[in-house]
Order: sequence, then structure tokens, then C-alpha cells
Amino acid sequence: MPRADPRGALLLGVLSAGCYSGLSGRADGAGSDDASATEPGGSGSGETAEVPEPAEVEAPTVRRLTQAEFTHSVRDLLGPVDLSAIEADSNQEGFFAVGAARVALSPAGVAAYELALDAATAQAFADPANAAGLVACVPATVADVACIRDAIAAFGRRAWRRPLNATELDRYAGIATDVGVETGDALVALRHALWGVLQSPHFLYRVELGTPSEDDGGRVKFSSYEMASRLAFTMWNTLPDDALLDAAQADELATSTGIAAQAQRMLADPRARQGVANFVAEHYRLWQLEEKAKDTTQFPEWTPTLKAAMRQEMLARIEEVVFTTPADFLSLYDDDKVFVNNELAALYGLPAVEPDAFHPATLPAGDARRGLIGSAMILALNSLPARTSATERGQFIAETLLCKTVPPPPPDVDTNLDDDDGSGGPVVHRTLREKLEPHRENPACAGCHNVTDPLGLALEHFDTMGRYRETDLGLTIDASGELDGVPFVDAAELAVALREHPDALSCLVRKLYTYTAGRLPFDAEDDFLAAIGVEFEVNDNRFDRLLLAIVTHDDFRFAHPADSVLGTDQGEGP
Amino acid sequence: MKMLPRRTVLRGLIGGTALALPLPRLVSMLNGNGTAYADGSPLRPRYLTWFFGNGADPAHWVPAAVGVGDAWAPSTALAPLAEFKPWLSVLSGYQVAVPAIYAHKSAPAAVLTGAQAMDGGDVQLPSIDQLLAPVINADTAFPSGLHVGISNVTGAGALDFNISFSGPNAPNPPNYDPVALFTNLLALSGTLEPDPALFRRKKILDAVAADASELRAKLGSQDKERLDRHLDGLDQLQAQIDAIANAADCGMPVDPNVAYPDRGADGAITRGRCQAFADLLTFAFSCELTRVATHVFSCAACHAGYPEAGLGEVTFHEDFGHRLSPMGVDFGTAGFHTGVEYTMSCLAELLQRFRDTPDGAGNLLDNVAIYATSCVGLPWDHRMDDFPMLVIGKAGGRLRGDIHHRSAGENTSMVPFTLLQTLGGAQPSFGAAEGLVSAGIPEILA
Repeated sequence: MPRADPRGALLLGVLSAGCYSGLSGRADGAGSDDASATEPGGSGSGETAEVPEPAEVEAPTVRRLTQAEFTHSVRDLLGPVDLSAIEADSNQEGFFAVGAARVALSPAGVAAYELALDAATAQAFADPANAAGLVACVPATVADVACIRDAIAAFGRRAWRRPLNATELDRYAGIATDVGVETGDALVALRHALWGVLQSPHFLYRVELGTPSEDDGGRVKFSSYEMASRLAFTMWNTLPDDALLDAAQADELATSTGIAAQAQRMLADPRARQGVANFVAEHYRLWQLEEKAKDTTQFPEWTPTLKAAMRQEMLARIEEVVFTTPADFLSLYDDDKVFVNNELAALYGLPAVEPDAFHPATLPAGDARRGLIGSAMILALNSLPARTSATERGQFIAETLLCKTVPPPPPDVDTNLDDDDGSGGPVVHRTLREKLEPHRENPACAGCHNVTDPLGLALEHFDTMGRYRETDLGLTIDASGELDGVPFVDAAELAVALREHPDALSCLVRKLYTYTAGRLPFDAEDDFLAAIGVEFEVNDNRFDRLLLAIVTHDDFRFAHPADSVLGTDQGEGP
Repeated sequence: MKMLPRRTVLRGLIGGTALALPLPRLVSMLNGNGTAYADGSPLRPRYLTWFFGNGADPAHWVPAAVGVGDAWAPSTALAPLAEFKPWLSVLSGYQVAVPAIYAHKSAPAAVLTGAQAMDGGDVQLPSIDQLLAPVINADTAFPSGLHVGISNVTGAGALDFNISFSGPNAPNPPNYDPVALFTNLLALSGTLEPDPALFRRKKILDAVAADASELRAKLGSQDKERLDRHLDGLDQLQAQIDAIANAADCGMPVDPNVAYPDRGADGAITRGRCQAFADLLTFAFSCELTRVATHVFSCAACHAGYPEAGLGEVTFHEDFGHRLSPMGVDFGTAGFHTGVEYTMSCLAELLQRFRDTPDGAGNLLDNVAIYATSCVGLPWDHRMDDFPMLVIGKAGGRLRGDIHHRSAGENTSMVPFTLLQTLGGAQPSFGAAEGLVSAGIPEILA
């Protein structure tokens, strides 16, 4: 069972090479051009030009539904039921979507599914009238076998994102028969069959593995049903609807044209907002806000309602720029538009709103607060409980917005930034910039801190909750710095520099694709990602167009890029 | 053993393969005076990892004198464990040998698995509890053990919330809900009349397992491993249903809602929650529903507060672990010490119940091995030397107890390896690379 993970050696290699500031996040971990070079095939002595060996890439893996996907899917099937806790998602490479493709469920996690789905199906079937709205056919008696089978088949097609085969249908109809014999209650019998359908790995995992396509030179291609699943989870964060499954049944999702028709329809559906919100929640780690602790002795304003307001504001900003008034997504990076209720307005230093509900507002001209990095949510999330963290805030900007790699600190580093040195002498306050100065001067630390700290220090006018402060304990704050050669005097200018950064667009493309694919992009997908980036740009950087560009691209229908082959792992093993 | 007719009927429904089933320990399984199994073999030992975040200050933690028996006395930090001194082995001076690549992560990975952490909250090797599970726990209702947690507040950059790993990308996350565990244990206790609906669950699980097996055949090796774990979970549920159908009365676990109604929300650090889980783990061990468990008091670098310890709502990691309290370093140091003593007092809740629960010829503490450790040594410098490590219990006479053994900077992996060997693991070594050891600590053995 225990196996060495080659990523270990890789990680150490990256660390020993110091802080890498190029684009991060490749499936093979390469960060430089030479690492992506393919060894030429053959001896090279022939007269014909050498033909490069096709790159070998990882085969697709099944992905456990994330908590969000599971919740949305169950409620699509059963209505607004309560769901008890299931095993937590694992965040890898910044996304639950990636953890879902790598991490195994524990045995206790299997039990948690059984329990949650028992209660959910029981709740949905407690009222026969409600149950009747959930199934294709309501059996009058346990003898109504045809109706029970129809109900299981229709429910199963939706839940599993494909029709059940005859064996599978018999298997779950058999449960209904047995329970029917025991209880004499057809609805109870059907409820148990559907409880089983939902515990099946075909529901709990996204089984999108593809099969070799002769028409495409043997390239592994996703079936129309698999494409329906990919489209729905990518765009809606939930199951396909019947229209999408009908399109799959007609094999209309085998071509980009067919996919484009469905994708356009899906973007106009309210569930698209749920899909984009989930990407943002993962990308900006909105989920972490709930568990973010602050020192409430110093910051009594840090309440559950304030955290909820911060989260809601971020989603409102996204909704505005993606759906309400579709615009350049990167305008989020330096916009002066915010959304506030009274709790958040107070934190932003804006007038109270009436009534106390979310309203759009505009930050004053000349305000240091601008864009995403000025949002309370980003500032508070990337801070420590009692103080700011230029390193964490800078790391967010560098890694999340610009795809730079920032490795963890070297061994045995003193991470204390306390004013009090414990000597018993007088405590001399210093600004965070002064405290961090040794890190930028020490060669072992400077490689990374020179990337993160100037960016994070630009946000020092905002305390650990994101509230503006003129000084830090009476000391003057110097928020100036430089981003890859572009100087800025404060956070507002940094926000503009971020929007205009040459990597901002390609990084967003890369992050969205990582989330979509459930893995880091392959080197062999560089051309694909570049093409998507161009498409994004010519469509005024509109996020909805970016989403469309990804799902309608030819490569989205295949498990690997053209001119590559899958690793030989597939289908092997005991 | 009185078997209810309905139970017999149910067993008939399920197939009646009672002899092959994992069972809670029944009176009939023990010899006449209850000191051993009926065939004369000694009771199986139990194992538990007890983990707390944010480390300890050696000046406060390490007892002043080394030696056995009267030669040593517990330190201030360990004073809450003083009444359990006969079962206590304090192991000081050990050092984490893997490089400190990740603060609060390299060290817990090393002391739990013997190897460096991976990026992203993962480990390279199974944790000690999962190495022991197949050795002493395969025939119980929870073959991979029970895993519980008190605090569900995160620690930045640490191993998520997990301390138990079956391997890379295979954590056993803790359960924070004592009521859920109570419900599960109650069903397995044999106290309740089994629900005839159990057979429906078995039928469903059969169908799901058939789906999983068919799917497995189409998968690559990594996915196969993941689905195998899912199948393990299905098997475990099936085995538990069989156990319910066949169990005799094992007594009744303590209902957290009755005994500790004011224990606080799931995830909060309170004594009531420590007591609730202590009761349930004692029941599970006593009844041999499992012989392996893990208990996370607080995760690595946990940011939760310890309000009951008088430390306010501030984050323990920041104000005290890093002594960043606005009240100054002295206040931070004192508060840190208070927090560690409070932590040990919660451990004492478990030890007290183990000691007071008869088991075989002695008590549960005689038959358990508890490995208590943390994510860091002295926290304000992220030190990895003089690491906090305790072994508690006598593991069925295998451990001597009542000892403070001090090492001159040897590898922390030696502690879990000693327990692995002592409890029957056949592995000749433990850990990997800098963490690899092949020698134990004979001084703590009986």
C-alpha cells in the first residue's frame, strides 16, 4: 500500500532551486522551458527529420464529488433535503476539484454517505405527494414492477449521468422487490432502491474516463454522456438536466457544435451562477472564511455576520461582472465598485445604507482600497488572527492571481515578528516592513520574500480584518513597492498594476482549467491554453466567454491533447 | 448469553454466518474469571494516538529527574497526569530528524509516519495507528480504527485536520460529533433490539459493492487503490450490521446529550467534549468494538482558543504558541504553560476512565498503549528537538511505565517504532530517509 510519491523528490528539487517566480502549476511540475522538452525518438542518424515521441500524460482519474457537487446534486434529485456531514474535501493545488481526483475516501466516509443519504431519501419520501414529484412513475403497489423499474431507470440516468445497464437496473429493482416483500409498501421499496442508487460509486464519483476513438487516431475521447457530466459539473457545479442528457442520448455532445449549443443554453440557466460561484469559492478560498479565527479581544467586530457579509460581497462582485453586467473579468482587480450592507459599510468607511441589505457602492476617488486585493474578504482571509501578514497577502497575489510559485520557508527559520524580544528590555514597535527587512536581506529567505513581501506590504493600510488604518501603532506606513518592474505608491496603484500584469490573464485561464480538469495542466496543453487565452482576450476578457471557450474547445472532448498518449497505467493492476 | 428470538430470526435473514463475524467482546468469549480469552490467550492490547497542536516548552514539560519509580516526578506541565504515573513513560530529548521544510507539518508527519510531509497536507507513509490496525484490529467492527477530534479549527499550512493516514492521499479524518459516534456504538453494543430493516441495508450495500467491483475492473492502479478503500468502507458497514445482529449485551455507552448537555458545539475545545469522547472511546475499547483509535485534541498549529483555561477567545497558536499576545512575552509564556496543562487535563479524562474500567485481570490502562505527541517542540522558535512525547499504559504487560527516559537527541521515530514492535508489528524498521529507524527503546519495555 505505501508507495513513494515522485512529487516528493520534485518538491525538494524545487526548494533547493530557490524561489521560482515563473508560471506555476504544471502537471509534471516543470517550471521552465527546458523541462518541457521532449526527448527526440530514434537514434537521430537517419536522413529523415526526427519525429518526436508523443508526450505521455496521466490518464484521467475518477473524481469524488466535492461537497458542493454532492449537495447540489442530491438536492437536484431529492429537493431541498437536509444533509448530515460527509467526509471533508481535500484542498490540493489550491482546489478541492484536484483533491477530489487524488484523495481516497476513508471507511468512515463511506458510512457517512450511507447515513446522510438514508436521512435525505427518507425525508424526501416522507410525504408521498412530495415523492411523486421526484420520480418518473409512482407505483401503486409492490406488484407494479414496471413502474418501479421505470422510476429507478429515470432517477438512475440523472444520478449517474448515464442510463443504467440491464444488470444494474436489475440490481436496484431487486432491492425494491425485496423491501416490497418485507414491507408491502411500494414507496418504501422504491425509496430503498434509490438510496442504493445514490450510494453507488457511479453517483459519488465522476467516472469520466473516455475510450479510444478510431475516428480520432486512437485518441481517448469522452462519450456524449461523459461530456454531459463534464459540462454540468463545470458550468453548474451539479448534475446534467434531462435536456442535456437527452442531447447526450442523441450523441449530440460528440462535436464542438453540439456542445456549444448546450453550453450556450446552460450559461443562460440560473445554475450557471452556482457554477461560477463555486469556482470563485474554491479559487479565492471563500470556504476558509468560516473557520478563520481572529483575536476577538482586539477585533470584537469579527462576527459570523461580518464574515458572511464579506463572503456575500465577493460573490456579488463576481455575479455583477460575469452575469448582471458582463464585463472584463480583470476589472475586478482594480474596480472601485463594492457591495455593502451596514456592517461592511462601517468596515469600508462608507455611509450606512438603508435598508440594511446589500447595495452597490463606489469607493471615493483617491481611496487606497481598490479591487479584489482591497476587498475585506481577501484582506481578512490572508491575515493572521491578531495582525496582518504581508507574506500571506503577498502569497495570495503571487500564487492565486499571477501563478507564481512561492515555496514554504527554509528549515529552522525564525518566523517570529514580535516587537518584544523577551529580553525584558523596553518594547520598541516597528512596522511590518521593518520587521520583514531581515527576511529580504537574508539570501535564504530573500528569493521568496522579495516576491511576496512588497506585494503584501502594499496592503499594510488595511488591518487584519481589512479595515483602513492610517498608521500602524502610530508608525507611518510605507505602502510603496514594485511589481515585476512596475512601481506603485500604494495598494490602489498595485491593483492597477495587477490588472495590467502580462500574466494576469493567462493565470486566470490556467486556474480555471485546473479547476475544470481536476488536475494541473499538462505541458502538452500549452497550445490549448494559449488558444483559450486568445479567445478570452478577443472577447473582452469576459468570464462567460472564457468558460465557453474551454468547454467548446476540441481538446475538452478528449482525455489528452493531440500528439500525446496516455500513461500505461490505465486498466492495469490486480 | 441470552439471545433474543428476534435476533435469531434476523441472523437467519442475514445468513447466519456468525462464526466469521467480528463481534463486540462477549462474556462468553472470556475465560471463567474474565482475565483472558476463553482459549486462554491473553487479551489483545489496544492502541491510541493522542495528538495536540502547538507543542510544549521543555522547561515546563520535561521532568527534572530521569529514572524509574521514585527517582522521577512529573513536571508542572504533566502534573494533571500525576495520578497515572505508574502507567506513564515520559520520553524527552528526542529530536525530529526530517528537515523542517514545513513549519508545524514536517514534524507531525515525522512523529506520526516517520517520514517527511508532502506538499498540500499529505504524507508519504501510513501513520503508526494504521500500521498497527492490521496487526491488532482487523477482526473488529472498525478495522481501520475510530478517529475522533475535539477542535475543528484549522492550523495554517499544517496537515489539515488529520493525524491518521492509511497512506498517501488516504487520510482517516476525525469525527467531531460525539452523538454520531454514540449512535454508532449504541447500535453495535447489543443493547438495542436490532432493527429488521438492517437486512435492507445489507442488500443495498451488496448492490453498491457489486457496482464498485465492476467499476474497479476498468480503472487504473491509483483509482483502484481509491476504490479499494471505498470497498473497505462497504465491508466495514456489512461487518457492523452482522455484529449488530449477533451481539450480546455489551452494556450501554454514555449518551453525550444526557451526560454533557452543555459540552459546547462540535469542534469547540471544552472539557465536556473531552469527557464525552473519553467515555465513548473507553466503551469502544472495553467492548473491543475497535482496538485502534486516534484522538486529536487540536490539530497541528491549531488556531482555536482555550476559553475554559482562562485564556480568553484569542487564538492559542498566536497569542501563546508564538507569544504574540498584546500583553507581552511573559504573559504569552505563562498562558502557553496554562494551555498545555489544560490540554493534559483533558488527556487525564481519558486516562481516568481507562484506569477505572476493568479489563481482563486489571484495567483498560493496563492493556492500552497511548502515544501522545504534538506538531512542534518549543513553539515560539518552531523547535523540533526535545519533542513532547509520552507513552501511557502498559499494553498488556509489555510496557513498564513509571519512567522518565531522556535521550541525547535520538530520532523521534524510535518512539512509534517501539510501540509498533511491542504490539506485534513485524516491520523491521519505521519511517523513511532521515526519519528511518530500526531500533526501539528497550528502557520503556517491561
